[in-house]
Amino acid sequence: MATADEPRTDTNANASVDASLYLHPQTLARLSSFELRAKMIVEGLSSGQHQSPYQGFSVEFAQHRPYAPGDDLRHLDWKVFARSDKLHLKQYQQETNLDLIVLVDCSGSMSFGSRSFADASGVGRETSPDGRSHWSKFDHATALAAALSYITLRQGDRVGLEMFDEQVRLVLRRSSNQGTWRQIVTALSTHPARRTGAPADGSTNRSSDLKRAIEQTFAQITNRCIIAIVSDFFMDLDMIKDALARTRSARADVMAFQIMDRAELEFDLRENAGGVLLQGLEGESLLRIDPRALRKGYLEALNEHNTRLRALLRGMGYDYTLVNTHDYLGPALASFVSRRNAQIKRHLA
Amino acid sequence: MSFLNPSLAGVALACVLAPIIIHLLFRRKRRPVEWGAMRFVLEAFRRNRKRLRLEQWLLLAARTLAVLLLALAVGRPMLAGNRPAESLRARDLILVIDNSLTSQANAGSDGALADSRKQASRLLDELNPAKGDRASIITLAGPAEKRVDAPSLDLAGVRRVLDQIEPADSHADFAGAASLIRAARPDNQDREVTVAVLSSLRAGVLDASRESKSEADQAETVGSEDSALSVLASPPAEAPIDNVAIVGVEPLRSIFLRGGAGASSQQARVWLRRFGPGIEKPATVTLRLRASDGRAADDHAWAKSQARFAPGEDAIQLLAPIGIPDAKDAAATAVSWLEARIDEDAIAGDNIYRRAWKMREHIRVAIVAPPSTGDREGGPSSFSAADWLSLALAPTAAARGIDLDAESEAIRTERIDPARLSASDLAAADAVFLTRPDLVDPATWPLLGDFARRGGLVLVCPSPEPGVQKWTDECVKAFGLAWTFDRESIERKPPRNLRGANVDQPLLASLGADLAELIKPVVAVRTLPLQIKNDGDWLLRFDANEPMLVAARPSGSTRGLLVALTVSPELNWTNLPAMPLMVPLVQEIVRQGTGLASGSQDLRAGSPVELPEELRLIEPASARLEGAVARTNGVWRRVDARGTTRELVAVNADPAGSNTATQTRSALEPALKNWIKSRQFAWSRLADPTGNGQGLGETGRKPPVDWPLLLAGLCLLLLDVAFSRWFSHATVHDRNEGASREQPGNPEATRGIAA
Repeated sequence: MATADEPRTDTNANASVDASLYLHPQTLARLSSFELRAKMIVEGLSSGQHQSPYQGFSVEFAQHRPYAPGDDLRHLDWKVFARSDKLHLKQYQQETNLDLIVLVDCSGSMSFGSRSFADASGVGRETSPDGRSHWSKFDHATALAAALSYITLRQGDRVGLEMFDEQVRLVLRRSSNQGTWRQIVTALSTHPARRTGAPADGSTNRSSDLKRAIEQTFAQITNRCIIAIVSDFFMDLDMIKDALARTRSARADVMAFQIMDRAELEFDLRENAGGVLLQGLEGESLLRIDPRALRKGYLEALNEHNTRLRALLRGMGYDYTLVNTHDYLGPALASFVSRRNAQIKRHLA
Repeated sequence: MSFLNPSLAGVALACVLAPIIIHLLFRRKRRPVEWGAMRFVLEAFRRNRKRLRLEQWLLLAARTLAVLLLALAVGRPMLAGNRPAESLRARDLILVIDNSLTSQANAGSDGALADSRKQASRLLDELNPAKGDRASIITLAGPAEKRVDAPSLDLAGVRRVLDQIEPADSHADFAGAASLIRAARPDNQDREVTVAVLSSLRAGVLDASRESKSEADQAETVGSEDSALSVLASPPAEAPIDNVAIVGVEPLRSIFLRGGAGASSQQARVWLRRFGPGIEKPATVTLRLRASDGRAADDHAWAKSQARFAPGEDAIQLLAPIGIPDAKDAAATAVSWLEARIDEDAIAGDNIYRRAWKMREHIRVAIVAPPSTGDREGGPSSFSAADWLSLALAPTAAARGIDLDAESEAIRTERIDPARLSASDLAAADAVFLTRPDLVDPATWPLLGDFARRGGLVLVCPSPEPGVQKWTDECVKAFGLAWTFDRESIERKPPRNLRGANVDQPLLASLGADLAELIKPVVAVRTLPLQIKNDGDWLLRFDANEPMLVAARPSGSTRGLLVALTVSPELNWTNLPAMPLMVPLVQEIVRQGTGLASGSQDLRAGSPVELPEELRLIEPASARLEGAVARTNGVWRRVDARGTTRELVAVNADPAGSNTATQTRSALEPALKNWIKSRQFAWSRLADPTGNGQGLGETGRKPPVDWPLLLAGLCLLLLDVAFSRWFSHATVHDRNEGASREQPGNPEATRGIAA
């Protein structure tokens, strides 16, 4: 396991973490029959069950195209010529393996959560190993990353992990070995998201730097892959756009999972006389507000952000899924995977 | 503002701080709630910061104001001028009744004064003597008069006084009424004082356009805004009334000599004014004028003339003949006056005008000079100044060769030796000529001063003798004048030419335009320079503005006249005795001078009358002289201790009260408000056909304004609830849905999970 420029030394203390904390048995049961397929045609180093972008002349027929002078006559489809008296060439697709890179946001905002840990965890524990009583967005992101890794490893593909906030915190190289999933879960459980203080430069924002994480990812890999970004995406859309432009130039497939707590989605804070004093988790200053007076504006800003994020991702042909931490992960993830696979099949047909 | 419950009001007002204190208490430090999506909270806060702040301020203002209004309502506040417990206080009603000349105006009703009496009676009906209510009456005719000495509980007695009020011919005296009201106010402030102004408020009573700034400014401030004084005014009359008034009468001759010529051609200038809407139309008024001696006169005794007003003309002046009574009856009376009458109209008081006018058989002139030498053969060059003056006073007698003191002349002269001049000589004379003042004993000069102050005419001219004119000091002292004579006469080379004549002075007014031609040939070779220093008037003067003839009344007197020549009327001083000017000049000095010097008091009704001696009424029988004030027109004679008539006092209506023009409430209101600074002014509805305005019951006794404040406070509370609901952006959630949810982000909920 290789870490980024600031590796965390406390991870060894929780090396014996129970992976079941983050992957509910029901979730595993749901996901066991699913296969994660690349939506985009990716280039692999070994032959696998995923299509290669190189439409050469391999085993599986892809399509016909009209003959042009200079084409190799060995690829002419004589049967078509016999039936239609037209010259067409056969084209074939080469199958490759799937590399999944999971980028998990561990910024301060991911530590927020309003769901009880006992309700969300699958083992009946009241608190997290580090003593928290609430189920944070990072917990949910961890479970999602573990589930995606599980599916991918189960079908024999390679999985890599990268955790980031305003900088890359941890990088786990791609591997399809048997112990990879355990390594991933251990890494996720030992690098929790933590609230951050005010930045030293005086700015008020210590949100995640997705662009840096993407660039660092593509600095280490050369083949095409699937990037799964698990984050609340509480970051500037321009920065997200720049990051996605980088993935597009690398011709990678992206699955974006926006993790949000129900409280954040509804902003239904209980009214208190004198207002509510809010404390940001990424270095923002204290702010006293009247929740009911500000709810409409908050929801407008949030929905505007999410709408633009979704439009940005889908405009680039990427998947976007909003994940509520108060929902169980299994059904939602199963629905996403099946929907994605169906979409890919329709595309290929 | 004051409160019926001041202590409650204080406590309640302190409650105004409650919303602010509550707000500050809830802003105390609380345990912060961690929030992940803070960037959207901050963005929403930035977007809505102004709106939220406005909402908070509106809420705070509504709550604070609501508490304030409720607090005020609890304290039962009184508006400015209202006094606490006013309903328990007794009231002083000051009835200001207009009985001025204008109140005589009759527009088909019983007259304005009768209307004011009725309104006053109705106001008195509203008083409750058992509660301590009192009333007093002030009549407005100038000078304003207190008819009930002090506010009285005896309302029946006040009514009797009210019925006895009679109209006067004077102008309304608002300033005087204000002074009386101030004097009538109770010292303690626990009584409500209502001043009821009951008048037609025509322009003759209070000219709003003119007097709102002048008279009202001079009026004394009786009340202040926080006092318990309120003013109730009857609405102004609206009925149009035309009125013509005799404003003045001035005879061309200040004295009428029966023995003289031209008895049938006596004339007087008469000034008339008219008021009311009829000004725009032409009108003719019959004017009758006569000289009266107090006896009844037949119709033929009047000289009639027509005064014609052109359309739009409101004032005219005409020269009217005077009807002169038969000479055979004249000797029976020693008093006489001019009397002018016009046709009866709305106001009777200004249709008659009287003016003192002496009718005399002859004028006695004492020429104080040494006896004449009788040397007429010596020619004019041997004539003394006294001789010249005697000739000028009786030119026809002289022409017929009759002795100078002939009894048949209108002007009779008597030569008196200066050394033997006595008080008895002066008592028999109307005028005294001093041609040799240097021979008058210094002890006699005071007698001459007294003679003038009793209404005598004194003519003095320099002594023709060379040397120092020692008499000038005694003369100036005796008459109390600031004149300065030079010590010696000055020979003038070249001779001084007479260049100026002051025809505006009544003494020479009759000579008119002829005077300019008459003075041209007159020169003087010797003069006694005189500086009058604005004490008196010059009548004739030489070139270089050196006076030749001056006149002045003795200091401190309205009667008497001192006329001084700066030349001795002898040929070695001036050629005046031989010039055509001499006779008319001396005649006018005597005829006009004796009239002017005798003095007569022609007064406006309401003016004070000098009462050093007894005044006896001549006519009419209804004329009233109250104290030192004549309130109606009439003629009185002033008699001394021996019963001798000294002078005539004629009183006429004040034409300022003749203006019957109507005025609007809006024009009058500022003037009346300025008249007395009261905390409340209202128009009475007692004489208002529209029913607008107030009765006495409402004035000054308004209830506290707690109910309006209470309602306003409750409305604000409702508004506050609406604001709270609206600004909180609260929505109704489904009960089941809400119950199934935990409250995210709530620290209490978070603690529950942690446990």
